[in-house]
Amino acid sequence: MTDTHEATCSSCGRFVGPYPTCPYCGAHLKGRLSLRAVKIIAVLLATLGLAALWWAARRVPIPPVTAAEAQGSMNMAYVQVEGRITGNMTYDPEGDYLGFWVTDRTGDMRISCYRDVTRALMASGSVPALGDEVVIAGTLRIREDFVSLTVNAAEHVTVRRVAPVPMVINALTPLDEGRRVTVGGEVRRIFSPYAGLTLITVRDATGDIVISVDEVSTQLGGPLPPLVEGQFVTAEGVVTLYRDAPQVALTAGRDLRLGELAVVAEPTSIPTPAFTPTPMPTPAPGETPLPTPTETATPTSTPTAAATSTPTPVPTRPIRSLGSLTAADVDSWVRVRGRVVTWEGFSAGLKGMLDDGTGQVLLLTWTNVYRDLRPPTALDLGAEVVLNGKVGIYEGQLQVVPGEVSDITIVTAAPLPPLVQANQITIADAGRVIRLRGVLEAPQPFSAGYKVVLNDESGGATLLLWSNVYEALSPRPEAGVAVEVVGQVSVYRNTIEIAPRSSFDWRGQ
Amino acid sequence: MADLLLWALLGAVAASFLALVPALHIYNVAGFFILFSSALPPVVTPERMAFLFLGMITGYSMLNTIPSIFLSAPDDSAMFIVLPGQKYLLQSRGYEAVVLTGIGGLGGLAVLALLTPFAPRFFPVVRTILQPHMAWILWTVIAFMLISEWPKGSDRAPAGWKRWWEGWRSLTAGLITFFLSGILGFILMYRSLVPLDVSYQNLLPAFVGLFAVPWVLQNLLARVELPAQHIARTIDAPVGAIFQGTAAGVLGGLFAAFFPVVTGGIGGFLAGHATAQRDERAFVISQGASKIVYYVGGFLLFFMPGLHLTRGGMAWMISTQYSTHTPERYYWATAAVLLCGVVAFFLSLGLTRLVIALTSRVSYRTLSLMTLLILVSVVFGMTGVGGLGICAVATGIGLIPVLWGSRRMNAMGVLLLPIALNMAGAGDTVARWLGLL
Repeated sequence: MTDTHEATCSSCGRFVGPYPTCPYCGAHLKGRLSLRAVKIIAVLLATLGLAALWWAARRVPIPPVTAAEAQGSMNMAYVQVEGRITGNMTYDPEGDYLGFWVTDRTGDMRISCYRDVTRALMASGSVPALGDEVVIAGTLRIREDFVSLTVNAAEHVTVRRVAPVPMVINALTPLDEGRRVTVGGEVRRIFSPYAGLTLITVRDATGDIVISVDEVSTQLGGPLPPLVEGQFVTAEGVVTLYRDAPQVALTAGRDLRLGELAVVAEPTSIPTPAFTPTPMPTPAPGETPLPTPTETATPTSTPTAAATSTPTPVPTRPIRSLGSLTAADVDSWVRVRGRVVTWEGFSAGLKGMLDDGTGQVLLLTWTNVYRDLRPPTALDLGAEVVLNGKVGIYEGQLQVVPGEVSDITIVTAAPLPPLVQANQITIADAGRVIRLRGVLEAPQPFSAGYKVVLNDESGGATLLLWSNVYEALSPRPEAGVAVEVVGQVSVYRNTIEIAPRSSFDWRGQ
Repeated sequence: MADLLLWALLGAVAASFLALVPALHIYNVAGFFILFSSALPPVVTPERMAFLFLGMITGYSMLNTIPSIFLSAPDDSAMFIVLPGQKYLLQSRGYEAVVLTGIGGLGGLAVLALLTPFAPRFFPVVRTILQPHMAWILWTVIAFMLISEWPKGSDRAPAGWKRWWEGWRSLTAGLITFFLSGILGFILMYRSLVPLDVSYQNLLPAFVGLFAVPWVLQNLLARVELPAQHIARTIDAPVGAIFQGTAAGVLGGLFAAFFPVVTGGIGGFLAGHATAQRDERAFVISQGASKIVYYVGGFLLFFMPGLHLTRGGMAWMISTQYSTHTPERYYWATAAVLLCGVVAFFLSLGLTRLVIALTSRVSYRTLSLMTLLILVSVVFGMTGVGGLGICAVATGIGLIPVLWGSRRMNAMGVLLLPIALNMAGAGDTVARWLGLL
């Protein structure tokens, strides 16, 4: 430690320590800093310097960054991000934590708002939601696997909500993901796969779509109105994808509004009054919310005096006459009424011709829809039905396909096919649907299924069980079992065969 | 796995030498690793870097006592060592002070090792319990820190304002330091002048200015004649003092490591009061233990399965590149810490002799000027002109307690005030008053 030359008097050489003047010889010691000067500098730095720093800092803009630009060396920086909210919101009502993802052109960033910020956002009614364009400033936090931003002040959250675009349902495609839209239609199904998520299937004239409502939407945006199936609603939300299929995610419970439709009662007679649909509004960006859909504007289907059901305040789609359906209706949903004049099975369900006196279309029911009918056999030859279905075209034939069992209303159940004796069936009966009772012999396999002889007191008849029918039977047919079976008579190489059209034609032991 | 230990050992040895550079914080060195991480060779994987940092923080926290004692260049967690350390130094016992601190450090490491099997079960529970109470606990710490400062007047001033001022001078200086550093903290938090791409070193210029530069300036102002140092073969440290010091240090270090914003210095200060230490030897030992537990224990929390708590600059930096959740890695990290700690302790014995030899040949004033140069270079090199401006202002604030005789710890207001106000939900209100929003 060789500092003694600095602590001694340059005149007399004695130790003077911190004195500015030698206490022994009175010499003024040079090269020493004045403590008073240091104090003044310190105070100036601490006060004026701080004020200058504050002044300069206030003029420093908050630097904007993108998700891709954010890197480890920017950790804890106060920055601004701009993008659109994607993915589900997270909200913890106990801790008032609000979290969401913002996507800019380059990637995603997690945004976290804690108690006071969340409360301030809620108080000011500026809680951001899925699909909103936002500009947010906060403290950047970089982790190994993701980037997050903690919001320190509610005023550093700027939300711009895009005006919803009115859309018809079948116009929504995966390309609309993130778009804010309004759709309207009839509630077909309300389903909650788990607590905190409600899925509402809504259908308009063009198709159906799922409206998803998560817990956060109702916590932050008010509860859903009381809903019943059949209720007409309009919903404003953001298009999201579920398994690549578009759905509309509600961002606030209050964004689902109940429709006001005239009551339309079920008509009972055929033919029904013709219904001419009004063209759906063409969606265009920036339009005002969706005008009331077609059905509300043209309730042309007037209730008849002969209505058998009590009118309820559940609006329904007016019934189209079958003769009015054309190829232009393909992919749209229609409500039709008619009588089943043919009914046969195919590999994935049953189909038949529906006739209302003005025309015929093919009615196609998938197995899962048909089996949910109570009872399924009510829909058969001779049944009179009212149904909602999607119009399609197959091999030049117009068809109407109900989406689910609730789309089908059996006005008059199909009568039981005539019970016949085996020996009464002739080649002339080919195409008829008949009913037999008897005892089975052992089934014999062939390339496309099984053949089994049914014996009644008059004789035997060959039952033809196609593979799909046979495999759907439980228990499987076996010798000695007594059954009642319905089937369509066919002739193959001069042999009469009775072919059940589905497993539902196999009517037990 | 053995390679991870080697990386840790490499970090410890490197940090042991780097710790001798006055006022060079190991966080600044690690910061350069992060800054240039993309340019590092592939062999430096994030996991190896994590263990390298683990070794560095262990080596640094064991050896940064040396410049603190011999060159009076402490960081915020070592500031309590300086005064008793200087006392030892003036008694030719600087070497002994380093060894005592090292013994405390080894004691702290031993406790960390003993806690290893229980910590993953214990700390998550403690965290869950404390989490809702953080705000008021932090305000209690601040209140204790401010009101526990005693007037330091001579009681000989004439009656009236002069007498009042003599009594209140240090208290006022403490409050002003806390308040001004708090405002500085708000500015740094919301509108820092530090360039965006080195924001992770946002606090570097402030800490250098608040703590390191004032010490150096004080050294330049004072004329200190240091006696020749004695390399002792024995240490005046009874077993009781070792246990007492280690226990107090671990208590304070754990509090600081676990609790956000509270640094090792504050933790040591609280532990010192809590255990009412009168024995200076125990106090020096406790500061060594507290420093190790604060730095190393805090970083180990990052490796702890079930907790994964990010505490301390090292953990914040490495968290941008690496995360770990397995008990295996935690045990390896503890092993690395023990190995590095023991190696660093023995290195500290030899390197203390080296520093003693150096200080006997080079002027104290020259060393102080070199230290100042290093500080300014690090601040400018890392944070540019904006950082230098912050450092200058922080130096002014940091000089207030030096010149008016209050606790330097009040300068921790730079972190405590903004964070505590944020926790209380008033941070944005104050920032709005300051026009920073």
